[in-house]
Formats: sequence, C-alpha cells, structure tokens
Amino acid sequence: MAEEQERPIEILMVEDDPADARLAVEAFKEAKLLNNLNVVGDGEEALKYLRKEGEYAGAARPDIILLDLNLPKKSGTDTLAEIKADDDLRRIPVVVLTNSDAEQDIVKTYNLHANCYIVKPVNLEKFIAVVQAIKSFWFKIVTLPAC
Amino acid sequence: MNIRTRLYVNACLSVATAVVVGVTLLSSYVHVKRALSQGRAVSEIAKGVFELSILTNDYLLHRERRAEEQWRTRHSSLREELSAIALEKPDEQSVLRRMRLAHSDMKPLFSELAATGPSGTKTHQSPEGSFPGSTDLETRMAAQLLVKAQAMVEDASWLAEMAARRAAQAQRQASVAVAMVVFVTAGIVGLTSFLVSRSVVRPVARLHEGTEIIGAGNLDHKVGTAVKDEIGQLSRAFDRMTEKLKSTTTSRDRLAEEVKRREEVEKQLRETMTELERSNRDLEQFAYVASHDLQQPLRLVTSYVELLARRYKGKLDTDADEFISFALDSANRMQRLIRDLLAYARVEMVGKPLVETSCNEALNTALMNLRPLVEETSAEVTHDPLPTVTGDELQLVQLFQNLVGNAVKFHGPLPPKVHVSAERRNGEWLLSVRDNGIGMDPKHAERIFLVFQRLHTPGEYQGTGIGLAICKKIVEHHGGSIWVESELGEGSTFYFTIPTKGGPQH
Repeated sequence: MAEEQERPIEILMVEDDPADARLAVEAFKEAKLLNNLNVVGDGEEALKYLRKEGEYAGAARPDIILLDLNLPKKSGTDTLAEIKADDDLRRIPVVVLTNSDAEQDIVKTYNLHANCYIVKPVNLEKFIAVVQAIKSFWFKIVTLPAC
Repeated sequence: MNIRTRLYVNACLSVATAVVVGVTLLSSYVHVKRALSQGRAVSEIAKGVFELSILTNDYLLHRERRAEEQWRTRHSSLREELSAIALEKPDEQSVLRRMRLAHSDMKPLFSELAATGPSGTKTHQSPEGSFPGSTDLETRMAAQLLVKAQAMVEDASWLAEMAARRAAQAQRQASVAVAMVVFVTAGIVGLTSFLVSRSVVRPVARLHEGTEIIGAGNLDHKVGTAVKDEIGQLSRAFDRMTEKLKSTTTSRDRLAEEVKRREEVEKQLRETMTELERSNRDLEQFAYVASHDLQQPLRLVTSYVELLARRYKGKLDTDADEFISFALDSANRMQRLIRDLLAYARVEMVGKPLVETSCNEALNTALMNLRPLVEETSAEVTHDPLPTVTGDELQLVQLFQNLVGNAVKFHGPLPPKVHVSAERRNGEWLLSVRDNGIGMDPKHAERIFLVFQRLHTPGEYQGTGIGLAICKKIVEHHGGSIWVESELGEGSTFYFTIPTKGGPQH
C-alpha cells in the first residue's frame, strides 16, 4: 500500500440502485483511491461491457468487478456464473456486494468462484474501510494475478 | 283369563264331556241290556207257557204218565221263571200277576184231572168231540185248563211284544244320546279350537309380524296388545325390550354422533392450529423480509447522512451540524432495532437442527464478543463447569451474550459481578446468570421478555428492548423456559432450562 498508484484502478460496478452506485463513487473518493469506476445497471449490460459489445466497444478491461446479487434481467449469480465460465473473463476478481448475509447466498456465490463476498456496509465509514481493503486487494492482484 | 286357566278349564270341560259321554253310553247300554234281558225272560216265559199248553193238550189226549210228569216239570220251572221276572210298568205287572194267578190255578186243576184216571194206562175211550175216555167233568176241567193255558200264552205274547218294543225304544234312545254326545263334543272341540286360535295363534302371528318389522329396523313399532294372558305379557315384554333396544340404539347413535362431533371439533382445532402455525410462520417471514428489506434504504440514509457529516461539518451553521447529528443517531438506532428484530425473527426462521453443543464454548464465544463491554466496565464474569446440551450453538451464544451482556450493562455503582451456574434436575438442565446489578421490581418479571419492552430510557441504558425477547424465543425453541428472580437494587438472577435428551421436549 505504500507504493504509489501508477494508474487508476479500472472498476466495473454492477448495481441497479443509483444511490448505491453513487455512494460507491463517493466512498472511493473518500478513500482517496484513484479509480475509474464504471457502473452498469444489470447483468446483461455487465457482460456486454466485459465483452466490449456495442456501445462498450472502447471499454477498458476492469481490474475488479463489484457485483450486486439482486439485479434486474440477469441475476447476480447468473452473471457471476457466466463470467467464471468465460476463459477470457474468469481471471478478473469479482467482489460480491450484497445486502444479504443469508448463509445460503454466501455458500452459493463461493461455489460460483466469487473471489470475495462483502455484505454491504451499514454506513459510509465501513464502506470506506471496504474500499481500503479493495485497494490493498488490488495491489495484491498486481503482484499475484490470481485471487 | 290367562291361557293356563283357559287350558285348565278346557281340560276340565273335556273330562266332564268324557264323563257325560261315558255315563250316557253306560246308561244307554244298561237300559238296552235290561230291556233285552227282560225280552229274553219274557220270551222264555212265553215259550214255557206255550210248551205247557201243548203238554196239557198232549196229556189230555193220551193221559200218559210221561206227559203228566213232563207237564209237572214244566209247570214248576215256569213258576220259577214267573217269580224271577220283575217288571216296572203297572199294566205289565198286572198282566204278570194275572199270569202267575193262572199258573197257580192250573196246578190244582191238573192234579184233580190226573186223579180221575190212572195215569200211564188207557182205561177207557172218550166220546166224539171230547177227550177220549173222559167224563163230562173231566172235559170241563180240561177245557178250563186249556183256556187258562191259552190266556197265559196270550199274556206272555203281549209281554214279549212289550219287552221287544221297550228294547227297541232303549236302543233308539241310546242312538239319540250317542248322536247328541257326538254333536256336543264336536261343538265343544270346535269352540275350544276357536278360542285357542283367538287367544294364541293370532297374537303369536302378530308378535311374529312385529319381530319381522323390528328386525327390519323399525324400532318405533309396537305390538301393543291389551290382552292379559301370557301372550299379552310376552308381547308387552317384547315391546319393553324394543323400547330398551331403541334407547340403547339411540344412546349408541348419540354416542356415535358425539364422537363424530368431537372429531370435527378436533379437526377444526387442528386446522386452526395449522392455520395459526402458518400465520405465525408468515408473520415471522414478514418480520424477516421486512427487517431485511428495511436495511437497504436505511443503510443508504445512514451512509448519506454520514457523507453529509464528513463533507459539510463546520461548513454550515451549528443547527445544521446538530440536525445531522440527530439524524445520524436515529438512523443508527433504527439500524440496531432492525438488526435485533431480524435476529428475533431468525430464531425460528433459520434455526438449525439441534445437536450436542457445549455451553462452556457457547459462553466463551459470547464473552469474547462482549469483551469491549466487559473491559469497559471492569466486570468480573465467572462460571461453573457448564453442561453439554442439545442445542443450536449460534443461538446459545446469542442467549449467553444477551443475558451476560444485560447483567454487565445494568450495573450499579459497584463494578459488575456476574456468575453463570448450572445444575441438573429432573430431566433438564437449570442454568442461571446471577448479577449484582440494579435489579428490578418483580412486577416487571413477565413484561421484560416481550418485544420492545424496556424499563429504562435510551439515555440511561442503551438497548432496543428485543434482547430478552430473543432469549425467550431461543429457550423456547430449545424446549425450555426462562424467568427472572429479582428485587430492586438487589441484583437479578435469570434462570432458563434446557431439557436433557429424553427429557421433556416441546
């Protein structure tokens, strides 16, 4: 963490609630993490983005994906399964962010090779702590390509 | 009149009839017999008289010694016959008397006649128109003798005819009597049969019909007879039996109905129970979902208020800072409430199967979670060796955490001292958490286990008022019960029980 950040972290956030998305933006800002956060509203959009389809032709490959489980159209778990089934995309670390701390949800997402599972922090302070954790996580990614 | 009497009377009547028949037949027989024997005797006499008249003629013609002797023998035998016979009718008696008289008159006449000539030898020839060798006197005497003999013959003939007529009459009378007896007997037999039929056969047939009807299931049928005899008694007994059977059947039917009714009530009760359980589950589900879904917007509210505070504290005026602070406090309290409510709903919702769980470990985990509080208050928490029970570890941790947490939290001026102990008593473990805290009025002992029931303001002691409700639910989920013994200012002891294996289970 002591190292200087060379470039902003490319983050893809899959989140349908704009308040949540904005909060994430603000939290990254508060955490003073140089980032390039892109938000898409559902699983289908997320896959299009990752595969650089249509309007996302120029999208950068994200360093990390923050995935909400409750999504319209394609659910978070389906999206996760598809990402992990794609040879090209499966190396991108996925952090599942969700309201649910129900055990079965956690088990299910880990079975789908989610790299990390974070219950959405109850307040900003904790969210910032999570972002700090992601920051250190990202630096680990740089040294260790697999999560 | 009952049948026995009737049969008795019948028997008497039959015997009497038989006696009458016998007597009638006997008397007829006697009458006929006597008439016949009289007839025979009279015939004998008639025959004797006739023979005597022939012998008289014979003797008068031949005057032989043999004839004389024959006459005398016949005469004396006739006398015996005449004296032996007895007749009832006066005219016959007078005729008999006349005959006896004539008979006794004949003997001197004959003797006199015999004395006039030597017997056995013919001494002289009698003239023409008279007996040969006889004198006029002899002829007159002979004529007298013959006339008397002739009269006797006539009388005997008349008597014989009378006797024959009487015998015929007796026979006729006997026939009539027999016919009458036969007629009367037939009448009596017919009448008796009719009466027996009336008093026995018809009621029995009716009774039989009644049994058929009742056998077919109609218990309301009554044979109902007013007759006082045995069949009447039988049919009344039968009716009573039917009545009893009906009441038995009715009470059995009523019992069956009652059983059916209770089964229905039980079914309704079961349905209500199922319904209640379902609605209870629904309510828990609702509480769970509601509190779960409430978390999301509240999280955003909290986070944005916090963001406001971070970015703009001191940059607006003091009022704004205060408002933001209140909003943040309230949002945080609401978060705690929702979190506790969720925990409360989860006791049943996500309860796992109960397994062997060490209370020692559960308590240690709870104490670890409580460490900041314990250290902050310099509390001293001690415990006896605790048992291993059948339970849900997470829930037991929560239970100890809430109870010990409360015991530490509600302390008085002295540093809190908490002791957890356990003892075994019939089929269950009794665990207790004793403290030296502020205690409470015993009247609140029930209320504190209800959701959102608090004895203190948030300013005095923090809390949502759900902790003990969760404890109660956890203990009940384990099949035990929870209660408190406390006095204001004397500390509190919370007790709860957990059944041992094979002990009382809910």
